[in-house]
Amino acid sequence: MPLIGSEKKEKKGEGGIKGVLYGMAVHGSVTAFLKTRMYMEHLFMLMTLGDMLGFPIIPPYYSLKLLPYVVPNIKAWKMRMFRERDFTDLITS
Amino acid sequence: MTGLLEYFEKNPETSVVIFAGKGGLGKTTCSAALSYYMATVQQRRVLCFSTDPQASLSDIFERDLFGKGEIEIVPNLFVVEIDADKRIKEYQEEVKRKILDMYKLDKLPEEVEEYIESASAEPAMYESATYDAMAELVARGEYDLYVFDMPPFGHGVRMVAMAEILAKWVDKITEAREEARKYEAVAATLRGKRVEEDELLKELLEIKKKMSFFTELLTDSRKTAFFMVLVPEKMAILDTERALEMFEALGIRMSGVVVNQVYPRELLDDPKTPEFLRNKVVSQQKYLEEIKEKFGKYIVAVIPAFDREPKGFEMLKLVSEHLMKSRIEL
Amino acid sequence: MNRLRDILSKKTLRYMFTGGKGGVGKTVVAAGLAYYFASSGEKTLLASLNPVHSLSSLFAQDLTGGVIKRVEGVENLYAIEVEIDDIVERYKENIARRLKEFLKWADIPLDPKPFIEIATTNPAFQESAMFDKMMDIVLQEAQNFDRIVFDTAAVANAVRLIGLSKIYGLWLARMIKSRKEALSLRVQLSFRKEKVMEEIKKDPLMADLISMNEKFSKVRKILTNSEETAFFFVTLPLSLPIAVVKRFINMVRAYDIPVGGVVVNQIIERKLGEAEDATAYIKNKYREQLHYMEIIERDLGSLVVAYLPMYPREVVGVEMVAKLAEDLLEYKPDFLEELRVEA
Repeated sequence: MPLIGSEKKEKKGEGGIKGVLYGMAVHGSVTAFLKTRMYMEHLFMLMTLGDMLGFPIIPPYYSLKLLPYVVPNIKAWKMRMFRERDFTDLITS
Repeated sequence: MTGLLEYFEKNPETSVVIFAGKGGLGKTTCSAALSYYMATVQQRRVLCFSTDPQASLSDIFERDLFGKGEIEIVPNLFVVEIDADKRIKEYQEEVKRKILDMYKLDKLPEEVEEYIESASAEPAMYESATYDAMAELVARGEYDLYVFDMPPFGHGVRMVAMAEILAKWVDKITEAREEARKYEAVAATLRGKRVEEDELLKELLEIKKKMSFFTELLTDSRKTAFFMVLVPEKMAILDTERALEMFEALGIRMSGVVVNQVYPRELLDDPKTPEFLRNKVVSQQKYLEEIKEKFGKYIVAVIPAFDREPKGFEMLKLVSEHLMKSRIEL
Repeated sequence: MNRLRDILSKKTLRYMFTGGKGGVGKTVVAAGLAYYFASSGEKTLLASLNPVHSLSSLFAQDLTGGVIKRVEGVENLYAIEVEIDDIVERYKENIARRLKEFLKWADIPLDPKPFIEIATTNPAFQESAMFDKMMDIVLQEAQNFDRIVFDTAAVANAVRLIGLSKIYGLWLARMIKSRKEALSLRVQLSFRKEKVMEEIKKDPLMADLISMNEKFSKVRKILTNSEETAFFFVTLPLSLPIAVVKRFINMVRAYDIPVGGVVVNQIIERKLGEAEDATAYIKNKYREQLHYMEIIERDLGSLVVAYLPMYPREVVGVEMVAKLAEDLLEYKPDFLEELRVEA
């Protein structure tokens, strides 16, 4: 679940990476690491660009300063935000 | 009453002076007068920075300074009247350019473009930009003395509080980023290295450094002086009391109170003094008593009400004489 | 008879604001306008939007508490010193609720408290809160009152408060757009579209944003309509307050807010300034004033709608407000005619 960079690879291979991640999710400790990292990334995105979704957390002046670094992730982040829940819904119900 | 000169003698390390208080009481005049004195009499390199949209250094110095950067108005005296809106625009352009460069794009993704454009609409943007400009100037350290007038009361106190809040924000973000990096080793096995991530962290620490530098300066009473400006009127006294409480809560020591626009008591002895002025003097005397009682130990200077507006070098010189070596006893 | 009477006689004019540099007398002018309407038999609300209120001390009675109170001694006149503590509290609860919901929704199993704290210390709260209250008064009290006069905070804030409605709209529009986008994305990606659609319909954030945006656009429409709204600037015959008024008239116009006119306050009469036994102080003041009166006539002449004299004492109490209201509509400086000839 990259936060930064490798944008082209990310765009093309996003499903792939996701697949790998979710595939790994059934395996022990790596899963915990990845999960925590994912949460942290969620939170980071939420803090920096939260007002995109209606949660103005960090002053936008500083959001703008950080924006260039998260550009490749905005779309993926938004998608993830809403896809994952459904995914969880599906496997838990 | 000794005036600000004695304060500077006792606190020789003072490099930042902030005048706070309600709008229209003479903060900007005091800033300009102090700056003028320090530059012309003490030959110190002074930067006078206005953040008050109500008062204007352009009017006081009788020269258009708005959005023109640091202007040396007399030798050693530099004046800045920030155009926050312009600064925000430039900043937006800078961010856009950075994104285009970073990702070798010809055009910004629509949602990114939209996001940047509408960010200027966020209510706190103006304030953030002003604050950032202040912090940047002080961090550059090119002047011996920085003199700021604060925007009207609420804004002023909020600005100081903001330094703390922003530092907290950045702490959280940095923490989240560092936490995320710990797991990076695992994640990296899936993809390759990512240089930008380090740059992002660097940027975060940079923001934090800039802010904490300024916060530390603001709460360092050896280096920073906070003066409240008030006039002998009920509202101003109430305001000053409130501000004192807030400053205390923020851990900022009040350096002193400047009482402005004081009519000489002697006017009462002159039978020719018209009624409105007579009543004004009488009402001022009442409030001056209250000021003495409430802020007695803080009062550092008393500035009389002049028969002309305090603008232009000649008047600033006159104001600065009262401000620096206060001669009026309450 | 002055121009102000013409303007105020327009029945469609429902909302008035006063602004100017600190200490020029915005509050007394607002009170004077409100008194005039009330004494002409119109039910009037005088609302103070200042961070530090002074209506209570002006009318010498308790008008505190953030609720509409009847002004004793003036029929038809009501006043409110707007408090924002409750709205700031509500904002905080609101954003805390949203954040909690969001973290739960996004399945982030972290303690939301520190983030709520950070989000709710956003310094823009206070400003937005005062603006919000002003909008509520405009929208909710219009049916209860014939006229509403706002004593607005320091000029920059005053203009910004109204100007912000334009900016806020833009900001909200973006928030709504991205929220919609996010929600529709959810529908597209969902395995159970109906369930998601249901959720979207009752999405509290979306509902909030939409109602807020509706409120903004309604108020914006009212405040930019010169039939309904007028913004009055108060100045003294001194260069700094004049400069501020000029600057803010430009700002207000840029925001499409209608300018009602300029009121020149605290004028020293010629009979005082040129009296043979006048003190040097008064003579100098008067001379300076004449100079600035000329500048006002030259630069703002067409906008000046009223003058107020320097009163022998501070304006306090209903009686003095009544006198001031009368002067607001009748008073003319005794040197005005000559001034115009000279200018």
